[in-house]
Amino acid sequence: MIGVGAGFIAIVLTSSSPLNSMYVFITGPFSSIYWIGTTLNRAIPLIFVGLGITIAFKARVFNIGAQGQFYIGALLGTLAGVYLGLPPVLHVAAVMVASGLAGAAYAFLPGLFKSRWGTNEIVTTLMFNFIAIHLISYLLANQLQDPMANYNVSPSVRSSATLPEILSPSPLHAGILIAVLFVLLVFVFLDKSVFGYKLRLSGLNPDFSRYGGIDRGVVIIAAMVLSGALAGLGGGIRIIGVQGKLTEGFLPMVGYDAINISLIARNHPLGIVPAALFFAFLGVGGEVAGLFTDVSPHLVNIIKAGIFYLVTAQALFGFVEKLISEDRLEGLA
Amino acid sequence: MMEALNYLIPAAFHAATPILFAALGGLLTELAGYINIGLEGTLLTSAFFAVVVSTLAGNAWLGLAAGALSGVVVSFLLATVILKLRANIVIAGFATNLLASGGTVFLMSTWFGEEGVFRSPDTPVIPTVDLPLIDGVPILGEVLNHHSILVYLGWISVGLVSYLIYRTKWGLHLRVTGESEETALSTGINVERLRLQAFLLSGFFAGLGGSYLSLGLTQFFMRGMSAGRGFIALAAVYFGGFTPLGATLASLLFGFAGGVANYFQTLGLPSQLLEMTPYVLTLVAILVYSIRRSSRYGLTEEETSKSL
Repeated sequence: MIGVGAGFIAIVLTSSSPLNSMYVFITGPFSSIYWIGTTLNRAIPLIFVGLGITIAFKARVFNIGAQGQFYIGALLGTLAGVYLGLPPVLHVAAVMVASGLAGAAYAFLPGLFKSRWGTNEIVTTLMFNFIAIHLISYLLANQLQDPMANYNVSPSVRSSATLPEILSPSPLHAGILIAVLFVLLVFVFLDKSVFGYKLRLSGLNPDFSRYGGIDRGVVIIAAMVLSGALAGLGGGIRIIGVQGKLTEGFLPMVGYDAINISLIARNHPLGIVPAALFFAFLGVGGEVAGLFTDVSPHLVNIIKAGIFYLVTAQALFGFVEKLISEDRLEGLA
Repeated sequence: MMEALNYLIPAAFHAATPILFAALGGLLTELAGYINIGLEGTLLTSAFFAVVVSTLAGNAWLGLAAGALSGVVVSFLLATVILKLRANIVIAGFATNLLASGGTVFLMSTWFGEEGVFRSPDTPVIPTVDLPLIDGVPILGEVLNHHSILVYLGWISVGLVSYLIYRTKWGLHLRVTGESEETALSTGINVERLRLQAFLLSGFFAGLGGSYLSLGLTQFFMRGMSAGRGFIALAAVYFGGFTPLGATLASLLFGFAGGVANYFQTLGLPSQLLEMTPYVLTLVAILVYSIRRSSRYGLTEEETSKSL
């Protein structure tokens, strides 16, 4: 809220007609079917990746590699969409499986390192993010480049693999339904399944749960793999829902936005939906305001920065001060 | 071959300098117990203010001062949020980067009506110097001479930071604090003030690095021009084993890899895999480090929850 407030102060200071700009910013995302669909569309990858982060946080694993897992999922999803020849529904399923498995595999390594040797996952997943970015830009400049295009972009996925648009004339695609399905799946997994219970318990208190017979190593790896699978799935869905092809540097903040989305949702899968919609609303609101008023669209990044700064600020919210230094990173779970 | 080296070695020094400054800054907060994700944004902010002030004031030294000062301010904001409001360092670090990427473009468009590049023909830059003693020496003279003053200042800073960390009481307290907060508190060290100081110094050095980006390496500001160097610097801190000398060698190595990548690009060879080097090497290094540590002390997750 403070971040949003700061953003509006900036609007007042820089806009020639601040009230109108603010009005456009706030109402823009709801002003037509097109913008409503665009906002919902923007929330889809945030929901998938946010769900992934939630599982990791519940297990007290700090996955900041969702960005890389998202990209690797998009990469394998693109490959499956371009090179497999399958009938329509099956082809979509194949892309989902490929992207989910790819994200899972990419997250497996930092999970394994952490569970075997205690390697700090914050650093490893951060490194893996940059490795994914450069790997994709290498492939797009070489083997995966569309021979018909003269810039770094992959060939388009086949029409059998693309998701249908469901709210014409907006770009909203059927991925939103898949996203909602996964929200429910993750909710059931975390709240109703035995393994989900173990995962949460292990996250709440690793030592206690270890005495209770829960293998912390297994929980760490499982949390990373599930987290990566959801991020990768988000990447694949993005490709077959919106882009149709792999490009360089698309949605460069989704993995980091998702961390904040999960925190705003208090790491609850059902909370992910409104939190993701809120972030999508901010993005689209900024875009509309940038188009139709004299306000800079980059203002949104400043608003988001305010949210990022303060979302974990415990002192601000008067949270208990039980988290002393060693627990500072773990305080998220 | 010689020609390539004659091009590559100075290019490596130039590419390494902003990384080196940021790495020294990252090292200081790391020793205080905090991973400084915000280096990237600190570099970007200071690059912006350095070139803007240098252009408007017509004085490169004022630009440098503004760059360093803006680095300190950004770092102060980050430190306040972490130390006073007790926010999470990783997420607040990304906040710094977001604020910098949004804020610099926002100010650029508000002040100058430009969205992409701020450039002026009248921007004074930090001068280059020739060291008189080695001017005539065959290879050394060519390689070590004629760099921006900031390149030499970077090398001097390595010595300064080493001295600070290993030869002063402040450095001792810093290392104790990073090692164990309880020990530091029980010996009467003012932990919070020490950490704040580490962050301010970190911002100062990263600010010098950012100033070099826009007043040495180039003579303009471009949106997002830090281009991941803050993260490469962070990698250099880890790859260098948390010592100033290690971070320096890592910065040079990564700078060299970046130089070779650019060279490849001009030859039309794929450079993206080379750009991956800092991250792959760092990944391997921390893996080796953690395997050795866990075989010596056993698996301790509590420790891993700190910075490494």
